Amino acid sequence: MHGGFHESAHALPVCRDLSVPGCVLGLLAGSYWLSPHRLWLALTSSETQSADLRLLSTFRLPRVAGAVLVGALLSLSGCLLQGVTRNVLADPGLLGLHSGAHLALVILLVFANPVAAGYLRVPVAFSGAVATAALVFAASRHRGSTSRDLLLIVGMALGAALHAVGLLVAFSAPSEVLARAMVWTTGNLSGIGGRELSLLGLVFVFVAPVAWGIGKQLDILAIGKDGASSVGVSVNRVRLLAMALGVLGAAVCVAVGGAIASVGLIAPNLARRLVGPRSRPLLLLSACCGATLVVLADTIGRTAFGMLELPAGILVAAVGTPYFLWLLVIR
Amino acid sequence: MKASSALPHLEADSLSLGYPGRNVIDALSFAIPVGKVTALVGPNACGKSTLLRGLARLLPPQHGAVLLEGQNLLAQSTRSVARRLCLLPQHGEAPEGITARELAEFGRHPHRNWLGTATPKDDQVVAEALADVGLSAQADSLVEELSGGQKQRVWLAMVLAQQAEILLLDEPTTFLDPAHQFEVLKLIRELNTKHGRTIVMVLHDLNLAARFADSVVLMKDGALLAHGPAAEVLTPAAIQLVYGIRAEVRIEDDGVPLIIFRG
Repeated sequence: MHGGFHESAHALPVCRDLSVPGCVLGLLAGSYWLSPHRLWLALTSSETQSADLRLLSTFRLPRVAGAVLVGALLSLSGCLLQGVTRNVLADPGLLGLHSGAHLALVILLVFANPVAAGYLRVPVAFSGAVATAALVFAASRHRGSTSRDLLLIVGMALGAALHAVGLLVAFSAPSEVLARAMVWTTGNLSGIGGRELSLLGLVFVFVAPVAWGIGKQLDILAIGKDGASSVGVSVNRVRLLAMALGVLGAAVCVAVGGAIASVGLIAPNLARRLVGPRSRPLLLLSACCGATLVVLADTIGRTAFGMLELPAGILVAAVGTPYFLWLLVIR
Repeated sequence: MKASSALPHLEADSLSLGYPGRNVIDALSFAIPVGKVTALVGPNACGKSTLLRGLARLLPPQHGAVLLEGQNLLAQSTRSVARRLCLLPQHGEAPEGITARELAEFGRHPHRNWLGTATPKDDQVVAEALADVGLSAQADSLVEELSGGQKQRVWLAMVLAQQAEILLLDEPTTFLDPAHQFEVLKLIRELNTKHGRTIVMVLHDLNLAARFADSVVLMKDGALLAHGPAAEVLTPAAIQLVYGIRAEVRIEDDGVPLIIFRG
């Protein structure tokens, strides 16, 4: 029940039962259905040229891996921000990250040629998201420290304002700019290739262990700033680190996959109901819930509607939000 | 643990404290009596809590310094200070869904490695702390479900588990009925007699301060007016000066002054 890894042991079976079937389904479903038997054969046989294996390695595996990483990172980010603001409704999107990325992308599309824009998409969206978060944090300084309540209000207000500016720029630009801006910003995982995967993987490998490491101190922060520093927690350092990790994780996801809204809200809250409020098991299970949610949303989006591929962001919002409301109201 | 002869001492060295644009305490020098219980009393907004927060390095000094064993508090690491000095804030809010044992365990944080791994010693210290405050049976109860007096005792268990020699307690009896105030103060007194802790506590009730503290510090407008045994400090004249109300002071049979306010 305390210390090390075993305190999170009870979260592990839930994690496994959630994410394994989700990911397997993501590998089975697609332009054609791969039976579990064929999946097994393709992955284990010595034949490296089979069509099934090619399909898996060039299309489905990267796609599922991308969805897993995006979902996990967004959820870790939501978890961290909720822990720091001590507000379970804090979502990375509420800090204006999506709007900042959107505006930056629209400006890029208007001013850069399509080839350059394609290359610059991820770094530009990332910079937009991080710059917005930095602005929100700077504007929330009150009497020498960051006000948690102000943070969410400023984030929402600035987010709405930037979103309006982004739309304004997009609508006054040629229509193909508007169309591409839509595709890039509505939570679409189809643009994830090798480069994006390695970027996501790199950020995840950095964010996840550090978040785990400060988990205990995040728990102690819940007794208030004075109490926490009295037992030896460097409050400002832990808060800054958690916020920076949260912004980094969410900004990368937004840059790569667009606005997959509310994963960072739904997954941690679902996990909180399953394992309680302690940060470490919560971070672990949140990441799994988020990964599963995005994999399922993406799988349904690219298979259930025939030729029409629905962005994962729309499905997460359509499935996740009512579920979240149900949780809030019924429980 | 240090031998009692080497108890660390804490002192304010021409300490000025305040908030941006507002000075609350100006050039105050005071050494906390080692191994004693000291009560900090004074009217609202006289700077008691500010002084306590300053002594616990939660509020950086505007001028001067707080010295722990002769060394500037701010020059020492948060964790190393937390092993010797501990503050119980005024309105401790227990996080939702936390048990008494888990809250008490937070006190072990400065003794653990950076990953926060618990050792068998941690478990033992926490169990002893809960036993000392009489909550062994409630160890696995949720703090939010405990009574007001029990809640305050869980916080004291956290403080005990921290094993710091100097305890700064900000109004440890607020929101408690008279019986629970008495119970908590008796426990605090025990922390001093049984465990040898140096204790500084902010109290509003002068009679409780007189009964449970070795010495009383009387504050007004951010300055120390008097410091010494309750019977010497809490005189009708001093109470008139500080609180602006008339009071009668009787010395009880056990030598403890009893203050009756006459308005």
